[in-house]
Amino acid sequence: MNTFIALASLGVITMFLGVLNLKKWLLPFIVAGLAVTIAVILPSWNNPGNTFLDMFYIDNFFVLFSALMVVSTLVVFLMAAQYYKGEKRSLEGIYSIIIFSLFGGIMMVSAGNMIMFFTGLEIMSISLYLLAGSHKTSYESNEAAMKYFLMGAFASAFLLFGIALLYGATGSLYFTDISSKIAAFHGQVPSLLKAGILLVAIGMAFKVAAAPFHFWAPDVYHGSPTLITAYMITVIKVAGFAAFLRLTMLCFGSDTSLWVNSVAAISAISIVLGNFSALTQSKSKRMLAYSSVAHSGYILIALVSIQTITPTIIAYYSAAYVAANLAAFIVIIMVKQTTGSSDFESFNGIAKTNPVVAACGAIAMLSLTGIPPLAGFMGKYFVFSSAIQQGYLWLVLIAIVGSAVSIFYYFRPVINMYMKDAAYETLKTSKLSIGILVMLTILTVILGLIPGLIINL
Amino acid sequence: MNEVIQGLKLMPIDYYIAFCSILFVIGVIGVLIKRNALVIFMSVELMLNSINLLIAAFSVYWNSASGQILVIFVMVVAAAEVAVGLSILVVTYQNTQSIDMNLLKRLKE
Repeated sequence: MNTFIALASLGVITMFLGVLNLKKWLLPFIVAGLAVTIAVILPSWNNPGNTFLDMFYIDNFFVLFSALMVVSTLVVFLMAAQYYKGEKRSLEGIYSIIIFSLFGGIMMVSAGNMIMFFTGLEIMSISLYLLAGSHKTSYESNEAAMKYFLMGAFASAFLLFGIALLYGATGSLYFTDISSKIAAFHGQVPSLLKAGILLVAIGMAFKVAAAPFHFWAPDVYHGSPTLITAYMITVIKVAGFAAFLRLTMLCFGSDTSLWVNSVAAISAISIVLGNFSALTQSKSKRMLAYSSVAHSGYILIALVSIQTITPTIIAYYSAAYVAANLAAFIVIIMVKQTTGSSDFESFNGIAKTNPVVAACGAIAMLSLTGIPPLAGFMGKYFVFSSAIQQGYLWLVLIAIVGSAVSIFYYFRPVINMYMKDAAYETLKTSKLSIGILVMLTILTVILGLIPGLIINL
Repeated sequence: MNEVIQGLKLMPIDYYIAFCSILFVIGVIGVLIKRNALVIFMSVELMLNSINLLIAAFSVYWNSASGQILVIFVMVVAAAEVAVGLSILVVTYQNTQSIDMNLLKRLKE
């Protein structure tokens, strides 16, 4: 509850800082505010307490994922310092909307009731529609916002229809009540409930950009401002998956046979479509968009093996994914600010001009591919091994083939960075962004070497 | 109030489900086949409102007030969504002089 108060007031005060013309203090204030938020979240570890008539669960799951989301948002704000350097227009609106969407994401992750779940999801999504279009004069940003809005609203309606049918079949909106009602049917499940679960799953698959509901993702991720893309591809994805996981654990967990095959199918299609579509891309943001579709597939494998998996494994996978993607996006922002484009050709020769940036970018790509001993490999290892325990060998085989295919496209920017010559003297960098980049890379390596840091929590 | 609820319960719940599903499907078809962004907004609104009707019907069926609360939340969300959507529409129109979805294809290239 304190988390919500801290984040909401941070967002509102951020807006007023702009009105009071304190632009210089904007970023330091937000960073301090997010640090306070983390400090408010952490005491709830091993100290569960539900608030608002059990509509919010403040437990270890909440601490794990909301801390991860707040920390990644913090990194995004540190990246904003370089991304919006020399920007004339006022930024407090964009910053406060980012904070509000983080608020919605955390609300969604901690929800124990369909009303709060839906409200959190919408607070998050509506903020994101605005953020995608925040580069008002750019045609690409307009198009991304428009597509994201229409597809997002469409998906929300499906999700809501599913919630309505669940309510109709069980008579309650609390996750735990729905779960016990589902268990009480003893396999004789009414079709209303089946349709409801299916529609909720489709809505969530839309939100996390899992195939075949991913068609908006490449355009939106490519057209949005790069900083916002980094935010969407990391924080929002984690929020979506944490909420999906919470939903399946608390709400649909009592009868997995109802949905497990559909989720396995969505996962397999995501892995295949995501990896093979990424092969033909020539723009780095589009490539990372398809790669995120493939990663949705990998995390959905974790949902399929919900009985053996622990939230810490998914948190570990998410942390590895977030660290590698944020590092990749820092490199993309640097390249884009220097050359004005984010095509693979723009990565040529970074290894000669900026060896540190090239090394960090290469490690991020290796981690996303899943090369040992980096964090991305260990994350995949844990997820796949729990799926094998559940007997989903075919799914794991598809995932491994997908990972092998992904080597081809993840290595294309790396090859360009190391094998070709640059068209410019040096990248536009700042000490801060290099510092974050190195920190994220060190984190990727350390998490890969000592996975127990998160797994054994 | 009780008379109203009794009256509403006279009609079987299946009729409500069928009616709301038809409205919802009309909305889905509208989103899929219409190319004017404003008409697509209206279709999404139709979908949301058909769901509201369905939730209200279930709320009476189960004698539970929480469904009605959800309806109010959905209305608020729909209003916020329209406000954001129209502002995106206006910005897009300023850049392209059109709200035809078929023209929004430049990112594909």
